[in-house]
Amino acid sequence: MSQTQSPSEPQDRFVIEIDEERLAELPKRALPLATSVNDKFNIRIRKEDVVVLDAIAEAESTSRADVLNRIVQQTLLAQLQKLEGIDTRLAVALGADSLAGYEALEAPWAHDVLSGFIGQLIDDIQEHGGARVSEIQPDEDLNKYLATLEDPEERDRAKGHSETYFHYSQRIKEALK
Amino acid sequence: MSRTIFDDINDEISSRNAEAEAKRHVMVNLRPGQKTAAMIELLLRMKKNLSRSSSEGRSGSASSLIAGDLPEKIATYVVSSPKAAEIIRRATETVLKESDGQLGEGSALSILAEVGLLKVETPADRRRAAQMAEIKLKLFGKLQEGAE
Repeated sequence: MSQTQSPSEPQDRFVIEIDEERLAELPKRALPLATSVNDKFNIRIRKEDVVVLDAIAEAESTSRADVLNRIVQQTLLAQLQKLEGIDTRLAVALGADSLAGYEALEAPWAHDVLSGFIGQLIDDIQEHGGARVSEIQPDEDLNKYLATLEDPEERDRAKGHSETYFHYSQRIKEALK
Repeated sequence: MSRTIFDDINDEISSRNAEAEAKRHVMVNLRPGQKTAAMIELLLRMKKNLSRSSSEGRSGSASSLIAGDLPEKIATYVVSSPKAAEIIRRATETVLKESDGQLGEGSALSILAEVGLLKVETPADRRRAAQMAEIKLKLFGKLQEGAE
């Protein structure tokens, strides 16, 4: 227990006690990693499109910056969804997520990429009282074979990842160094 | 092969077009949330590494990642608004007042016009339509006279 006393006269003094040991044991959320990610960018936009952004902002009682942020996020997600293979899309999403310190209510990119699967999961739980995904039995033969492979890349290939996935994974690793 | 006078003139035209195109754009400051900033950061880092490994010089700006897709995404965003008609009307009025009565090619509003969600008729369009009607009438009148 740590104790702090205010530097005032004894009759006005208050004392604060904090149980730091118990606090340290409680689960912690990640702190935002704002220092590693640049959060100011300049975007080149047609003047006409700025007029449209302003018209949206006025009609929806918000700011141009807010509208632009939402559209940029949707643009990035659309580009991500165009990538070949769910494994590649997820690899890029996880790469971006690893750079971000999320606020509690902000969904990671990985959730966006898997939104179709998450929707299916919700339907399964509502319809069948459980997730069918969790009932899939592991392929024991595949697992035994994978255990014999030492090279992680070879193991990934045996799991069925595409060439596009490997190419992107390599680029992401380099970018996160 | 040596350069011809046509190459020089074509370069001059390209340069003028680029200047005109630049005047149609502005730089807008974007301060996204961490989620968007993280994705932009990752893509820019990947792009920077690519440019290092290739001989091509690629620009590593956020604009280079997003700007090309923006008009289409803005158009989609407008259409999905419950106040779409109000937004389109207000924006079109402003753009037509500020420009020479034309929607810029490739802009969000021109995309809406291309798919038939927006029609713009300017005084110049009306004058042209009236002239065409007059020409047709004269021609049709002469044809009719000839047939009689």
